[in-house]
Formats: sequence, C-alpha cells, structure tokens
Amino acid sequence: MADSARLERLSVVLVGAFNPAIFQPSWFAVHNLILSDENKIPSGIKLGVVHPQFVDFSTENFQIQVMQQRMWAATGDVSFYDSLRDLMYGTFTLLSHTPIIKMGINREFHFQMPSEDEWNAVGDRLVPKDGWKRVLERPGMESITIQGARTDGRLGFVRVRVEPSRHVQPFGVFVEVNDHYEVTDPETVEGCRELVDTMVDVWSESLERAEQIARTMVLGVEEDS
Amino acid sequence: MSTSGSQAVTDGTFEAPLCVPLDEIGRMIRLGGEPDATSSPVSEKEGTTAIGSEKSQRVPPIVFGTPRIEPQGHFDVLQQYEGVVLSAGRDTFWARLTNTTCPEADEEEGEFPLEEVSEDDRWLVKPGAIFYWYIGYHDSADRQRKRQSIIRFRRLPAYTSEDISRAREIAKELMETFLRAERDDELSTE
Repeated sequence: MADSARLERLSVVLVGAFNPAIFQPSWFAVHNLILSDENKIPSGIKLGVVHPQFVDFSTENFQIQVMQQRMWAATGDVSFYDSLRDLMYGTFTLLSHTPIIKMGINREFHFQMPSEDEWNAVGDRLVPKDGWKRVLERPGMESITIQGARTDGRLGFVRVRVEPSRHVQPFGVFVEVNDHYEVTDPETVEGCRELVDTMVDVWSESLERAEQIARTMVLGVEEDS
Repeated sequence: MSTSGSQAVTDGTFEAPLCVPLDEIGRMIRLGGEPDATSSPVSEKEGTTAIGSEKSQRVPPIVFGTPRIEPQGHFDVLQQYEGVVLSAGRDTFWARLTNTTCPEADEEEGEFPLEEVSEDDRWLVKPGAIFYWYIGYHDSADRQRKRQSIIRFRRLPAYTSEDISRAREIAKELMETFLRAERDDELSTE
C-alpha cells in the first residue's frame, strides 16, 4: 500500500479580471513577496513569457501564470504550501480592487502502488468493470471525475479527478482535488476581499480535506488510520 | 486500472516555435482554455480523439498549459509549527511556537541558531516576524531519504508610510464615531 505521495503539487487558481502586465517578477520582488537581493532584483527567476495579455514565469519555489481572466500559482514543495497562501494573500492585499469571482485550491498527488494488482484494484474500486466487460474488451479506467456539493455553507463544489500517473511509473495513480469556491454575487463583486478572506479561512481545512479524500477514497486507507 | 496504449505528454510545456508573433500569442490565449474552470488547466491525458467530442471540435487549446511537475523528490512533513520571533541576537533568535500538526498541544518557546535560517530570509528575523518550521523526511528523486528541518519566514508586503497614515486616520474616524454614539446614548437615557 502506498502510504504517501511520491510527488505533490498545490495550486491556487483564480478567475476574475486581471492585468497580466502587473504580475512581473520585479513587481513581486519590490513588494517582498518573492526572494530578491538587497536591490530588490528578483532571484532564481525563469522567465517564460511577459506579454500584456499573458505572463508566465517561475521562481525557485513557485510557478505563476496570469491571463486576463485567470491566474494560476503553484508549488511542488510541501514546505512552501503556507508560503503560497501568503504570496496570494500579499498580492491581493496590494491589488485589493482586482475583481475575483471564483477560486480553486487544488492539490495534486502522484502515488505509486506497490504492484500491478493493487494499481488495477484502484481502478476497479472506483469504476467496477462488470458492466463494461459486456460491451468492451479489457476495459480499463483512463480517467474519472466526481463532483460533490460543499458541506460548509459556502458556494462551490469539490471535484476529484483520478487517472493513471504519467510522472510516477510504474503503477502510478494521479489524484487531483479541486476545492472550488465562488462569490455570493458575481454581478456586484467589488474587488477580491471575499475570496481572499475565504482562502485564509479555509486553507488548512482545504489541504487536509484533499489529503483525506485522496488517501481514504482512492487508496482505500481507513479514515482514522 | 490499465492504460490503453502510450500516454501523450501534455504537460503544457511551451513547444511552439519561438518565432510566433506576440499578437498571435494573444489570439491563441483568447481562443483556448476553459475560462471559468478553477482546476489546473491541463489533464494528464491529451484531448480525446473520439468523433464529435467537444475537445476535437474546439480550437486547439493554448500551448501554455500548466507546467509539468519536475520530479525533485518529496518532503513528508512529520511536524509543523508556526513561530513568532520574540527576540533576535547576533547568532540566535528566540521564538514562541504553536504546533500546527497537533493544535491541542501547548505553546512552547525555543531558541534557534540563525544559521538554520536561509540567507535570503535572515533579514526577516525580527521580533514579531512569523515563520513556519517543518520537520520531516525528504525523499529525493533517486530515492535517497534524509531528515530535514526547514524554517521559512512569512513574506507579506511591507506597510508604507501612507498605509500607516491612512490606518491612523481610519482609527481616528472610528473613535470619533464611537464617542459620538456613547454621548448620544447618555443623552437619550437622561
């Protein structure tokens, strides 16, 4: 049984109205949001694209992409998960008038099952094959997505996707948990305070829920083990 | 679970020729992707080739998908603390620690060598500064395991003098409002 993920990533996706030209490494460095030298020159930057409609770069610890309707920031290092929250909180404290109407806190896990049988058992548990065997030869689960309602009184949903992993092989299982939140009224939203405050409030709970979903439902690990 | 043939690499790496004009990039950005989705944009698999599928009829998605995860190993957190710096000396600093792995545990205080803080974070070590302390095992890509203790300081934008002035103004306005309300209450009960 795989006890812990071989690889992980945490991302925050925001949907709203952004000006990508603002989100350059130098802007983050000037505001002490990312590593920089004493002259506020950002360090460890790998620049992808800087364009008025799209910015893509990574620092030593984060990956950031900004388009006019969406921002994505991620880290693959568990010890930077709280720092990612701080990065987003700091950014949208400074840019508090940015309208944001949806937010996703997404955890991705890549588990490695100890054997092919246990790997196949994950797919069989999530998608029983008896019915499919009547119409397909050797049916196998390629991808499954399940969405559930929120139970915390907030608007949104929790969506879980499971597929074979292409990063961890052999016998890798990929799980993504999309913890999706929406503002109460997108027509009247002013700025991003509602969802930024939500992000801070739910952060720990969201990360724990995602891990619990992955381990309990996908790996068959008992909830209290 | 089984796979039906080879899995296409769809990690969103920018593989288009670099001579694509920037205006063309802007057009591609507008055409691709699902603007309202808050999950990571790229599936592990390429768009299906099933006839009539939504993906096969759509304009090819933007090539700037989510960058791939670079397999650099994995850090397994055993204990996690949030700390507040109480005092900082030349070589060490004292901090109050809250165990975020076991929130019911009592707060503790501890002394840390400054050399355990990365050089990039050392200027942040001041009374009142918040940091995260992670203790766990790091499994490298070649499966070597080592125990690690990692300290990361919280980075938030610094308040400017304008922010502080504005905060003082707001506090003054609120105080005047409360005092006025208190006087009105007293008058109404006389």
